[in-house]
Amino acid sequence: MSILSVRNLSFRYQQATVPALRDISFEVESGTVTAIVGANGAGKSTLGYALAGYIPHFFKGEMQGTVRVNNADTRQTPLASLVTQVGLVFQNPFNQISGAKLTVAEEVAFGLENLGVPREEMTMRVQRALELFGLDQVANQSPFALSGGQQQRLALASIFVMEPPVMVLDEPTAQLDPVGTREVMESIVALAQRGQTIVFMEHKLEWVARLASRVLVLDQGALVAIGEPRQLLARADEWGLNETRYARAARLAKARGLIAKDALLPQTLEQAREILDL
Amino acid sequence: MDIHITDLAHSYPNSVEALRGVSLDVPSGSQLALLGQNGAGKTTLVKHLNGLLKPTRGTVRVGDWDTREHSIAQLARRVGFVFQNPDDQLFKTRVWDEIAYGPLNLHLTQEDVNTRVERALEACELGNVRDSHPYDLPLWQRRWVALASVVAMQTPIVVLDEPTTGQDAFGLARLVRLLEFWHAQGATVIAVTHDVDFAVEHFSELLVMAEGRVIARGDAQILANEQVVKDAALDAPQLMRLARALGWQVLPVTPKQFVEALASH
Amino acid sequence: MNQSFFLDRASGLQALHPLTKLMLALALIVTAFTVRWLFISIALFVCIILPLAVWGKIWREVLRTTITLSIPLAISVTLVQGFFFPGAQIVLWQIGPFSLKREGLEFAFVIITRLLVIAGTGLLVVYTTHPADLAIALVQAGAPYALAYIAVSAIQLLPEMQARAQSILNAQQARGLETRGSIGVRIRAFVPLIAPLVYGALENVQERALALDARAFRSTRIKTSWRELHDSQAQRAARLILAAYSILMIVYAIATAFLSR
Repeated sequence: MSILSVRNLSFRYQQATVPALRDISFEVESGTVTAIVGANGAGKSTLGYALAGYIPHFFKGEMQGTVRVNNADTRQTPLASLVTQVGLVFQNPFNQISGAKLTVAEEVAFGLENLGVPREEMTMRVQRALELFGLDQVANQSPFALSGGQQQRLALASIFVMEPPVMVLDEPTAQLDPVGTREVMESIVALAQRGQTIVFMEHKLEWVARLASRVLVLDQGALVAIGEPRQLLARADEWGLNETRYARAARLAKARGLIAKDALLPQTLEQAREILDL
Repeated sequence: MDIHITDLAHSYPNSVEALRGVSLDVPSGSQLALLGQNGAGKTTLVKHLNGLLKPTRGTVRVGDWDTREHSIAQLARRVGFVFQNPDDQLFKTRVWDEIAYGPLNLHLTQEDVNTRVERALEACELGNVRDSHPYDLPLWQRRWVALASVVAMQTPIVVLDEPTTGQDAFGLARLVRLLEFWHAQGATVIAVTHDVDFAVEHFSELLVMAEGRVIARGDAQILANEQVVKDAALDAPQLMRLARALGWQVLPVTPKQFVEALASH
Repeated sequence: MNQSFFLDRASGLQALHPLTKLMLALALIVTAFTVRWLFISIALFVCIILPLAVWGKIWREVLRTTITLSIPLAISVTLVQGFFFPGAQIVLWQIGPFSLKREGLEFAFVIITRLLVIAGTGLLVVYTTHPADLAIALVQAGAPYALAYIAVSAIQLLPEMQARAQSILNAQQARGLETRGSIGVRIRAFVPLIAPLVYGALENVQERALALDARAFRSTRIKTSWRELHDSQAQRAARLILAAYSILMIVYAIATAFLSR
């Protein structure tokens, strides 16, 4: 049974004339990493909200179809319960700092405090989360003293510590520099290696190719393609995605007859080497 | 309009020395990309161009003006600045009014203002949202409103702070067209950016900074120098890294260059 | 980066339960306002507040801050009340048409010393109480969780608001906004500076609310806490006594004011 099941999901925000999501259906298996890509305005964030239950419980509008998390219908389940099933991490690192805690460790513990976890267990889980995301050295610093990459890892740790079966990451590196981006992506790799079910929205296709086992392409609210990353990303220009330079160079090389016409476009450095080292 | 920076140093009130002696001449019409990690001094440097920061030591001349002798509002006539966070400037209830705000501050005739706003709306593809409330638009579109308000000011020098953040392929293509528009106008464009690949493809000149100093200046080939790339904590462009991994001697930068080089191997 | 006023020093005062400290602060302030003795406030400040600050190892900061806060106020209050207190008779010093009168100076003295007590007790609480502990204590005392959270987070997020205000100022100046000059100029600068702050705050509020929900903020389970709050029978008893004392003093003050009509 899939951990996430979306059937004919459509949604229109209350003030909008055009629907943000149109008849979307897909399943996510436990332990997988799924990437959702699409041009700006395609509906990636909206889909993220629907997976986490913020649609319909937080955002007003017209929702049709169903989203089931562990077989529970998000419409019938209260948000307080849903947030323990699907943890959502947002783009802006700063807005996710609660502001009520003076240290990184306390900040990570915040969610567990709200869930009434006993202190002993809390300490253990927080320590584990700090180590997993490389924050144990800064555990006693103020969250506001951290770099962007560290703050975003803090957001990841704070959600991870609540042990949600699914984590949804909405463009987690959009506001980070390359160093921060790498730190966060490596954290996501670590999460995936532990078998965490991850759904992430992303523009940087090289990382999508590296991390995801499956890609969903959104275009103006509709799901236009699902499949294996390398296959799908080769059609990046159809959907307004930022294809990697490797792919673009390979495309030109194909046109010049320098590589086989049926060769699959590479999205990462390793894939490019494979094609060219022959 | 030329820019002349002589031995510029800047220390913040908390005594962090963000710039340690930068000397730079940027001739009129240049298109320059500023690379380096956070804290290298890139933003500190460009904030001296429109007077947001004044030198602790050294001088910054924008055309014939010494920036210490002019207010920020005065320098705004010569240097347009697009900030990273559009929400720091959007305050009008209509996109059209927001874009008109800058030109109106320049005391132009209403006709001039209208022409400029229309041109900016077109260049930034905001025509169909001209009457919308900026905050009803998504973040990526608000970024374009902020860009449009600087386009409308038609300053001889334009500074962009991380213009590629959050842009999809359409947005990047539009940005490239904007750069070409500015180039055709003879405007000087200086962009602070993390996106090394975008920088090497669309800027004829790169400036690499580390720890408050300029450590390299030139075309994309300066990134072939592994020491420079390491000191600045940058990633070399994707294709350069690939070429190096393939053991090539000459390191191409753009897809076209790469394919040329591939043909000759 | 210190985002709050809390000074982390091991001391008895720090270890006290936040509610105990709040009750103490209340009792001191009530005393300063209800006891009809000219020197009550200064006596409280010197004999109780400062020794407590020494106990809490924060006396330097308390002294420094109260003096910095009160000097400008003290000067203006003294001058205004000294020269213009209504119905004053006893002249101490004559300058031209203006006379400094004793009743005015006494009144000024009362105001200033009461402010010292308020500032002093406020600082005693804020410097020695971890914000999270304060939130827990407020919740234990019956305040709604959301309110306690807002009170505590507002303090930490204030520096960020200031930084944002600075960014906005920069952005608008860079578009030609003049901020120096005539009143007209400054008034025109108001909307371009305030509107982004408000809009931005509203945008952020929504995202923050989402992020809080993601941390189970609205969960109805009984909350636990990472930090341990220490309380004791003695403190509980002390709080009751202080509360009773404060109520009695307020009643006494109202009664005497009423009866002397």
